[in-house]
Amino acid sequence: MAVTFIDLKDTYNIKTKIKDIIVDVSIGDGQSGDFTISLGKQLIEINKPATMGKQDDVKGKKTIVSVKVDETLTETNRTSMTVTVTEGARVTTYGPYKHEVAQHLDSVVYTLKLSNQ
Amino acid sequence: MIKKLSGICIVFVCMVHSLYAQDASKLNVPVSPAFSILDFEPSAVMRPTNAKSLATDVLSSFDKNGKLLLNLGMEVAPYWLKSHPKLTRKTYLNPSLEQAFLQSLSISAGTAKDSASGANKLGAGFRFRLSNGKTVDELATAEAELSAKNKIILVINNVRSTVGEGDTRQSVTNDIAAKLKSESGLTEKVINSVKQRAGALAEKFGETEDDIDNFLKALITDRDDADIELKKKVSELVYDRKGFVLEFAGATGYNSDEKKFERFGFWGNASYFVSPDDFFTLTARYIHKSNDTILNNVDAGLGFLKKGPSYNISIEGMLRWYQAEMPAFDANNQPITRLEKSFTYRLAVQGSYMISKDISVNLSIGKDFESPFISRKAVFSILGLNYSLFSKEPSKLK
Repeated sequence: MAVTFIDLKDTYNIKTKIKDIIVDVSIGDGQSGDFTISLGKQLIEINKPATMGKQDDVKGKKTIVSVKVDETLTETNRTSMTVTVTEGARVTTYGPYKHEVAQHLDSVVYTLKLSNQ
Repeated sequence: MIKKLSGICIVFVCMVHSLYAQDASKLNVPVSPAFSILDFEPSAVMRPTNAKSLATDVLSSFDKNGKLLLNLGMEVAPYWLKSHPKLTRKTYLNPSLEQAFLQSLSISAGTAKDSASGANKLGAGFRFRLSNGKTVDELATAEAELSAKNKIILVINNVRSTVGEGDTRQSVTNDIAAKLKSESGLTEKVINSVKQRAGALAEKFGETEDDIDNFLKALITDRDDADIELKKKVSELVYDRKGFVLEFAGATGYNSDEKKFERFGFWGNASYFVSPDDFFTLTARYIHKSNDTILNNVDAGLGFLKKGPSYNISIEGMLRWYQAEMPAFDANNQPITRLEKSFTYRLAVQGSYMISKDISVNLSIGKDFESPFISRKAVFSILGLNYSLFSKEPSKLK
């Protein structure tokens, strides 16, 4: 079985000074998987939305989202994941990022690095 | 490759009454209705998984003169032809009525040459579920186990994503061990096994940033390979359901030589799964066949199946109302159409007991449907010994 690594980079423009920045992940195509959300080297949450802090906590740092998707359905070999960053009422969506694996039971590790500006 | 070569090499048969070919189960919705309505299994079945391969498969079904090739089959699940990033695992496993329909809809088509008449026949069918029951408890357990293993992989990937100048294979290995200890609550034994494996793999890589990235990718792949049996288990358990399953299918058969639709059928199946190996099923179906004779069957039946570790038992009963129209001659030798309407039923008890991995004893007792075309005794009983001559698993070539 194979693992495909998909490394992605993007930027997040902080919208406010006072609102909490919350990062969440959605795994699509009915597949199973797990994710971690980190701020730099510090792991914030596993498989749960992560409250990263406010502008002063994250500015200049990188939010790192790691997602492992296991292709476990016989109907499709497709995998996908979407990252959302919520700050108050404003939602910024990254993705969906998609990858179709070559064989059933293969896995995909998506890594999204978001530079907070 | 020998995939499944199982030979019934010894069959000692007790013929209490007459023996007729018995279907394994009369109560299932056909897996591929188009093939079922044509009474044939195509030599090649295309299963396109995206719009591009669907178009390619459709085009390759015709010869250079534009004629449809024979003995071909195609099965398509339209919903799965494209990606669904918003379809979460939870929705997939516990679908609403509409989602269950979309996820399960499959369309089948087949072409065949009738061996008796030589006529070219086309079949088309569909199948879908409106209720897909619930997942089994074992799935949640297996997914939780896989999730725990994935966390190790994600911790390694976290370290991979922050590799920078000054990092070495040893420093990232230490970093992984420290994170596993502090953040995932793993035992010392598991952490040591990750360190040992990392130590063994590290020798194959250098100390540049790219080398360390490749080393950590190799470590992730290595861990993922170790989880393959668990992933297989999860994948299999997804399709084990319990509770209420409601399924429908339909198909039609077209004779392209005579240019007429000569068969169609509808199936409805409501099952209740106490467990994946223990269920009741209620079936209704209508089959119409129009050749030299015209036959309409309306069937309704109830069945129960239980699978144990070493045995299977099934009990089924089905009622049939049929109407047959067949050509005949009257007393004056004039051609007439004879109409026959009647009621018949099938009752069957089937069981098998596995003596060893390759040997099982099978017993079938019951009464089959009576036919409007053939006069026969419908009672059957079969006792058989089934022995597999060959291994079911392909041998590994060295």
